Amino acid sequence: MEKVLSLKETVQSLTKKYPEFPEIMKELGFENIVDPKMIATVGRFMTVEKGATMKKIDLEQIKKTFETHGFRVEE
Amino acid sequence: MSEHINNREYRQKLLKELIMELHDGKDFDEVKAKFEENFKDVSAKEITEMETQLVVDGMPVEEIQRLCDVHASVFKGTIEEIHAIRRDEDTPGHPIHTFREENKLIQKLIDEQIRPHVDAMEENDKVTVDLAADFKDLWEIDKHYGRKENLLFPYMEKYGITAPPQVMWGVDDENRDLIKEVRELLKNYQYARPKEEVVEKANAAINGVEEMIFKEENILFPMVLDTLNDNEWKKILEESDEYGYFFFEPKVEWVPKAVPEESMEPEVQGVEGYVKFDAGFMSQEELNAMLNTLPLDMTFVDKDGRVKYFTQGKERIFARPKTIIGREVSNCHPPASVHIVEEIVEELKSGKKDHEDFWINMGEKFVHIRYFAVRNEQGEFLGVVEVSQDIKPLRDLTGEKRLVE
Repeated sequence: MEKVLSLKETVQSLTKKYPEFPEIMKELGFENIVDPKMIATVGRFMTVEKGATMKKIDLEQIKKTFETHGFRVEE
Repeated sequence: MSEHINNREYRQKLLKELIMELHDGKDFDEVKAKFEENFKDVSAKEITEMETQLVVDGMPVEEIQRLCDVHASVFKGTIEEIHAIRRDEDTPGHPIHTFREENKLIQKLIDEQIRPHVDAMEENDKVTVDLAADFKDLWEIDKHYGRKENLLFPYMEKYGITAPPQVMWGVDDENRDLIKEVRELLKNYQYARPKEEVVEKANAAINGVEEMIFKEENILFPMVLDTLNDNEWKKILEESDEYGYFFFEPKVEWVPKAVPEESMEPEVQGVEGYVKFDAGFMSQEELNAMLNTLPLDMTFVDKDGRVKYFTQGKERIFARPKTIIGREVSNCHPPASVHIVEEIVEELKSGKKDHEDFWINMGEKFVHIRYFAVRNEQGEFLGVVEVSQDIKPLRDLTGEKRLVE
């Protein structure tokens, strides 16, 4: 199955689809994301795009990292 | 065509046709012109009805979602204006409206004053007076954070959302500390001249504040809007003034729609053994254990002079056998002091006094004994509560021990 990372999809939805998603995000510097309580609450509204703006983490870096994990990144 | 415009059904049919044309790839501007000609005053409600109708007619929901993007761009102005009026949180007075207006003012202070002054400071240090005033103003953010932490967070916790408020409160405190530090540095500036430190700390403070604005706007506000009901917003609204605002005076135009009581406190409804208070509710078990934990002894005597309750603290000052429950208080005192006890009770009952205090030495202890009249909201006498406490450890305290050094 093709893995698609949509930058506007919620963290909660992405975690449901791809169990490895939070760990990759953690590697990128989003430390709080592996907490299931955070995914269940904040994760309903947080997207990768918003997270990048908030944490000032380079979106290009995020895209590259996910691509190396076999994802196709969708704007 | 305009003679048909008042016909709702026709209007909806035409609207649907236009959307379908768009969907089929017909020239965007052509459709848009047709729309503007016929639907100057279209309401968002009608568009919603039309979408519902399309689903009823068998169009897959995904198709409707695709359509949403298309028609949103055509109807942009119209829909946004209508949505703005429709949404509660966009009406002045709604707590979220107030939070958002404050965020705009905070951002304005940063953009128009603080940033230019911090930049200017890197060139010369004549702006320290301005910067001191800026950060004095920025400290007012304490009120914005205070309302969020003390009014919003408790409701989130009630719904089981506990981790985000904890994290956010910590970051709020970091921001508060940074603002305080900058103000302190500027106050002592003449002597120490730590220019680089001021610039660095000031930048850290405004970055922290901006990051929090982003978190509130993008995560916190959508989350609480999705969770809290109108009764809860109303309570938040009522308590807001006590905390104050960031240079903002909310005009209250928002009128909450009443939500049935049973949806307000779901965990209390239908659960036996809960005692409701003026502020909050506790289970019988919690209440009993809490009263036994208080570092004092309490005994309640009802309006008829019968002992109704006393606490079971770890270190009791006066022995109280459980057998006194239900007995008249006059039977529980030595005959020699009974008339004094009765006199005190009479004075409390009549309203002549609200309390009577005694303090005595008892070996190692210095015991403070207080009798209070207990009255309800209407001022009716319900009984007397006796509170006795060994205050020797309190009298011995000197200096201070603070939570945060």
